Amino acid sequence: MTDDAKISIRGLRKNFTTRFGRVDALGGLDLEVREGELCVLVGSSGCGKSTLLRILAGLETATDGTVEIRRGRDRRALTAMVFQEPSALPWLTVRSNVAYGLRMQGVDSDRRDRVTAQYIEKVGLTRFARAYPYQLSGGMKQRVSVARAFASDPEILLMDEPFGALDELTRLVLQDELLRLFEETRKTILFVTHSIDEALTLGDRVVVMSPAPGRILSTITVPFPRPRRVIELRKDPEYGRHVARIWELLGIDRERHAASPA
Amino acid sequence: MPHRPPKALSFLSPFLILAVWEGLARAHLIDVRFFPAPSAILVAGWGAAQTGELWSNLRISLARIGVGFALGAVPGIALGIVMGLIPWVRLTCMPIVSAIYPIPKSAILPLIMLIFGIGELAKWVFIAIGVFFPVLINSMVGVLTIDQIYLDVGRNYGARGPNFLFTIALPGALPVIFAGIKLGFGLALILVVIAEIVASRAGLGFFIWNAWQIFDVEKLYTGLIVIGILGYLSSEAIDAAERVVVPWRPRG
Repeated sequence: MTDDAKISIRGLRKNFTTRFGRVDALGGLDLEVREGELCVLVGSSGCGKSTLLRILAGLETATDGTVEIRRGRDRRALTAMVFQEPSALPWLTVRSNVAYGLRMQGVDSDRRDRVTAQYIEKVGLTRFARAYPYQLSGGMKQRVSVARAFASDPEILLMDEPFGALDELTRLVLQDELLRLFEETRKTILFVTHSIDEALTLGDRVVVMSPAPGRILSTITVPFPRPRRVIELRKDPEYGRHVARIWELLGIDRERHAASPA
Repeated sequence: MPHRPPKALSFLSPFLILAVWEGLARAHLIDVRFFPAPSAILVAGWGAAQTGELWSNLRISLARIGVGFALGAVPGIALGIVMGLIPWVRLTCMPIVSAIYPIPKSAILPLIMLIFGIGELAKWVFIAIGVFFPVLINSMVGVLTIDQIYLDVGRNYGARGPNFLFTIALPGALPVIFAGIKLGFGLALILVVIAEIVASRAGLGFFIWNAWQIFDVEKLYTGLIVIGILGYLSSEAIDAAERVVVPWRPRG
């Protein structure tokens, strides 16, 4: 583990046994994510990206290999995950949803209320703090999940295609909001998407994965300075060149690229 | 959305039937020995209310339902949730539940009277057994049908033990548990009447059975109507409770 590695993954394998036989989801994956880095994993569907996040989140166990998340000095939750599907708990109001992680950690109610109100405001849901999820749009529900993850202030944040089910417009607005939140808090984030645009917009680094069994094909350092704005990025000619490059990495024979230095 | 018919319709239709019935009875087009005029039933009911006979029997039945329902529903919810959460408990208990549940509850009454006598305890146990099963099964199914994503959220955010139970499993299962409570309450109403017909000198079941024995048809109808009203009010009360306890569900 290098000095500033927050997440360190070594030789991670995951096999599932299904009715149709064995599926190798992850085939010996190595990855390091630095403290305060927003690292984006891209790959086609079924390349094991979600499985990787679920292992880090403690929702699955690995077949082989190690995963290490370096703890800070203070006690806090290890991970908080934002899922692709709406995951705001239907029986809790927006406020209680955002407070959920802190409540489970036993944070006292004064601090919990303060932090919760702060993140509800950051995602623009103050007016809806007492609403239940069924009263919210899809984009607002995802804002609740994002706010909940940030508010619980874990060692690392995991985001599994959090904007994947949203319409294009809402998606861009939420990307902008996430950029702002990340640039303010500098939490370590591992973000999974199959959108190359999203990867380049958000990431400090884009990690391209092979189809299952998932391994790393290539890593691209994203050169755009922060703070970023979604629309500004799209105007940059560099942006188009990077999109094309990742397309090539994903599209062309994977054996050749897996062998070439990243 | 199509134009919604006025809600008053659902209030008017019963009165329409009563009016037709009254007319037919007064014209002697139906046999009033079997179908006495609603006005005659009303007079009989008023009489039973005046003497206190109706209220004392109603009170006794309500107490039996209340105690029996609580004795059945509380363990039903508790065990149902545990069975939903813990596979080995589910696998152990399910065959027993499946074997006992389909036995008609009325068939168990003689055994219950044999064991518990013919006092209040026997009625409570009888009602409790009837309520227990639908509540148990619904509670278990309620937990088992919670969306996987919410279980994942609970686990990811570190909800364990009682935290998981009270922030994920119980609220997630509540809508289905309420369906079980409604079923259970309907059964409690049936069972209390059965028990009182067979083995009681008091209660609404006795009130009706007694009316049949002395061939007081108006009184018999009074008993039926009171039970009907009781069923309606209790179902409204349970719905109201559900709106308070489950405020997060969209309602039409």
